Amino acid sequence: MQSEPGPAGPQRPSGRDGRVRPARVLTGRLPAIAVLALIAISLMVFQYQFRHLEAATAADLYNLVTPTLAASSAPIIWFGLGRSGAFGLVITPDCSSALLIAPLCGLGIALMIPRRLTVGRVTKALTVAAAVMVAGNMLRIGVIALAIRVDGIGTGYQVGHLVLGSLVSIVCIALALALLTLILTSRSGQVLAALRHRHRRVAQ
Amino acid sequence: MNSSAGQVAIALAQAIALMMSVAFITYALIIVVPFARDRARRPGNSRTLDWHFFVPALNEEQVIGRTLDYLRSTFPEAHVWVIDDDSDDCTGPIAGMRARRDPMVHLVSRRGPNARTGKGDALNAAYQALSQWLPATADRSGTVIGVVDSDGRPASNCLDVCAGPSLFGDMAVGSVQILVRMLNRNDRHPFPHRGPWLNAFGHVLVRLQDLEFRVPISAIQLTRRFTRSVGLGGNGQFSRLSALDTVADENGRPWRGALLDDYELSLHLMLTGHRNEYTQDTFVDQEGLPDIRRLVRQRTRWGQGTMQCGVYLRRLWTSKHVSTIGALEASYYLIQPWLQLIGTLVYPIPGLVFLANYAAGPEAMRNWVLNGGWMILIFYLVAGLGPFVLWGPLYLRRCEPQLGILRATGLGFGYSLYVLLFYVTSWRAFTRILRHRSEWFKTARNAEYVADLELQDQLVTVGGLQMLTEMMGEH
Repeated sequence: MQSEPGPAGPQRPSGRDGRVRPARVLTGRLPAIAVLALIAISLMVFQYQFRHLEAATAADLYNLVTPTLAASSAPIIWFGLGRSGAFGLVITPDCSSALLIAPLCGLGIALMIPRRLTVGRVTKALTVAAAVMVAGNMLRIGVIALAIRVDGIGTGYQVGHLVLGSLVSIVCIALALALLTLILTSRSGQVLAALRHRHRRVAQ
Repeated sequence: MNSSAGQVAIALAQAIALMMSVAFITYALIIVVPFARDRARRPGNSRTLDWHFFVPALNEEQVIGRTLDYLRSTFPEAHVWVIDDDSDDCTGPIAGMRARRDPMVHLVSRRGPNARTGKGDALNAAYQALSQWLPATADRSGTVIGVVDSDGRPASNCLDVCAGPSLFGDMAVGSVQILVRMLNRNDRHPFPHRGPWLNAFGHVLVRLQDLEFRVPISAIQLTRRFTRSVGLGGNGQFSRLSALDTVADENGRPWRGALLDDYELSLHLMLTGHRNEYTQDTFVDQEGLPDIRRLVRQRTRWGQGTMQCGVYLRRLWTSKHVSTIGALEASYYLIQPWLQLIGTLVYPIPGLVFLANYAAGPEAMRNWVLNGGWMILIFYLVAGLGPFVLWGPLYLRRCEPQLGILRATGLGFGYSLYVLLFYVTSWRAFTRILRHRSEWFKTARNAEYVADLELQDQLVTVGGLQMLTEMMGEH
């Protein structure tokens, strides 16, 4: 969170803007920008397949605690199979993280164009943010399923889907954006160093 | 089960709306922290620096005399430069008479066709006049320029606070913006000859501007102290003369052509390696606008100015003097009017989807609402209003403890409606850009506006609507 120091005195800085890098053709970055654009477009074009993948992943995850199965040909997860009160959740385009990651890719492209940030750093930040969004969506599916199990397919679904699920989404998107900003702006090791310094002060 | 392109487009628009909303909520929560933790900093001694107030004035005869009296009596060590921008009234003669009597008062007269081209140009004229007036040996790094509106009232501790060790006491600091308050925030009758409803509305509108400047804007500026991206406003901005020298262009103009020339100046200062600072340890009082029409006009100008400043995005992101977090913060600010345009298109989509579904199957939608759909409506209201309503109680706690929790919370809700205005002003600003309209227009003072209203009232009484229309056209 620190900026580079300003001039110590009133002297005129060399170069009006003190630019980091001259504006050059983005040849070095074009492949990375093209990949991000391709990912964004793919997420929109193949969102059905992505939703299916999300359903399969959620099924694998929640199968650890309850019998869960993903439908073989649709983005549906079945919970509590073999028991009374089994139910299925359909992941609609609104409920998928695919269309949240697509704008994130757009943001990544915008961040790569000025050449200030390295491709690696932007990629790392986007990967972490996207992972948090996907994980958040998995958690949301679990919360909805739990609410249905507790309160039934009527009220339970409405509370889980509309309130708790939305809350989980908001918190996870906020976390994703905060981490994205932190990774983009922190200097390497800066956060750890600050924590160590704080720890030493507390110890004293 | 494949979704149609329309469904995907709607889902994508909703995803963008969600991302924008969450980014805003996160930003609002983050900026509360430095605001809540801000403590007064040690003031300095104003006598260690030379002070010059620039007061741009266009048809300000009603206020300029009192402002000069105030500035000279409150800050006897400061010079005051009145820039008469080719006024039609007696602004020039009033300031000229004071200048002849008092060597600390100076008049800069601008005349057409080069006058009335914007506040920035007026300030540039004063900058050039000051540079000519100062001896060649003057310490320009120890000279500070303060910009005050013709009705501005800087607090008496203003110069000492600005001279503090963390502000102009630090040579890296190029400029300081101080807190802005609304002078007429307690005036319950902004329109003396109009009815109680209009007066109540005007009073609340001024209160909301006071809340806006003292809480959310102050919180944003305090956060910008960490990101090193503090922005300057039109009133209560102070700059080191040597810093202005470094940003002056080949024509000797530190203030450039954007309609938001003050923020533009802060960008130039950032880009040349100077630090902009903000303090709420002192303040300047200015008039709040009690009517929507002038407020819309003023905010349209600000919105258009912000859009114009978008040309600096590339330079912000390539400057070694601006940190990444600073560039990110400034970029978020600069794209705000554009986000508001996008928001106008994507935020209503859930409502429209609801209406479309209702039209397709009213019974099903009624059941949906009664069986829990109402919860999402409540949820949206809480998430949508919360980031605005929270400023009401903070206003009570940090600024106006005499208000009471009910009024403060009411103001918080009022603020959530008030910000809707910016969607209108962003579209107006965008339309002006499309029409290549970028002329500068000054916001009329309250006294002038009220006099106009009274004139309208009299005309209606005397001559009827036709005469009124003719007279207003001439006026």
